[in-house]
Amino acid sequence: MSSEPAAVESQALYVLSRAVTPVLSVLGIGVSGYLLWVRLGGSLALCTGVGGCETVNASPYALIGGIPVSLVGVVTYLAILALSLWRGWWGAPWMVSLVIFGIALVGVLFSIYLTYLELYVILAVCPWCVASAVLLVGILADSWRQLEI
Amino acid sequence: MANKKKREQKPGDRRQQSRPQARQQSQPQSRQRAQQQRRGAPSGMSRGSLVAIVAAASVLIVLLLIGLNVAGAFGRTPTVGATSIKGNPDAKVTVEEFSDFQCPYCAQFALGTFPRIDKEYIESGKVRWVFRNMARIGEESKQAAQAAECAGEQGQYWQYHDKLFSSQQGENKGGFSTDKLKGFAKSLNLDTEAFNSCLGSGKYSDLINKDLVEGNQRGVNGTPTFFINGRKVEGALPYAEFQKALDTALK
Repeated sequence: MSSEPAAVESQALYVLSRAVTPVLSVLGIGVSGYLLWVRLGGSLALCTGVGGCETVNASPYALIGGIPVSLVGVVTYLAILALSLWRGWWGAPWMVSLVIFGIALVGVLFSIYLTYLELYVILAVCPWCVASAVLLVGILADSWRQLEI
Repeated sequence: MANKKKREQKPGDRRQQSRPQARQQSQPQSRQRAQQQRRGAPSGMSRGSLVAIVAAASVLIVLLLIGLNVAGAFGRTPTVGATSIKGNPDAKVTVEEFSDFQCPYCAQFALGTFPRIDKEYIESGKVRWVFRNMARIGEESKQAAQAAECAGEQGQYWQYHDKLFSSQQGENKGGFSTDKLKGFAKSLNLDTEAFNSCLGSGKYSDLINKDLVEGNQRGVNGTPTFFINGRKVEGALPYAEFQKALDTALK
């Protein structure tokens, strides 16, 4: 009988631990989606008070092979979200955790490069880009935990 | 015992750890491991090795992305507005001027030194002059730069350029408000309807921002800054200094 509350607590922890990456991914979709909207000519209202969004987003470094970096971000977060939902709620092979880890690692390393560009080349910092980098670090940490090596 | 078993479980099949837990806990460990092997890492390769391979692949992918990004940035065509270029396209010397319409030293150069350079070097076909917007002082700098591009659409870039520099009223104090910029267009007898529509569209906003980014990349720390065939010259130097630099470049 005494094991029932423990089981409920364990189930709650299980659900919470599975929710970390999906939640961070949804936030990431919001952030990179906003930057994509700005890039495509949307309002700059949320950028002007803070600083360099406009400069960073209009820089020649805001494209990879002609594709806006923000679009790559949206697609990346969507992929992580789909994979993490598969892993957390429908069961998935361990390899899926490994794929999430790989995507997150690419995201973090590329974010480091973009932050370097902002600080030393473009000389303007976009707070939304920094937020995205922080979210990716969170996803990477969670994906490492999920690997349970 | 159950806890011990839980610790020993590998994450190859997490779903099986939680939901059909009772059934799984009754399975012998060897069977669980075999099942994990099927659903997890390929046989003959440890999870640690797989993680290392994926990490290495990730680094390679990032290097590829950086390569694409840098190649794209350097391969992009220059962001100069077509109308802010003056002089012989085949001139031996090209001067790029990074300037801000709100900067007093830029005005000093544009109204004092530049007309002499224009007469002696540009009109004679020796020098090609490119005006780049280093609109860093504030929003009015950017607005003014866009307005000049709009005037350029009607063939009056340089006239508007002079008008802006001769109308400075301090930095971001309304001297280049939208109404004032429209007024300058009217005073130059531009087609005001077309000019106002152009200014309102913000169509040159990207161009102005790209110039600013390129200026930052090329180490423009103050305005005006000039690149005479790529050689950096800083400040509103007197005509004699420019004459010397241009003659050297022309040799």
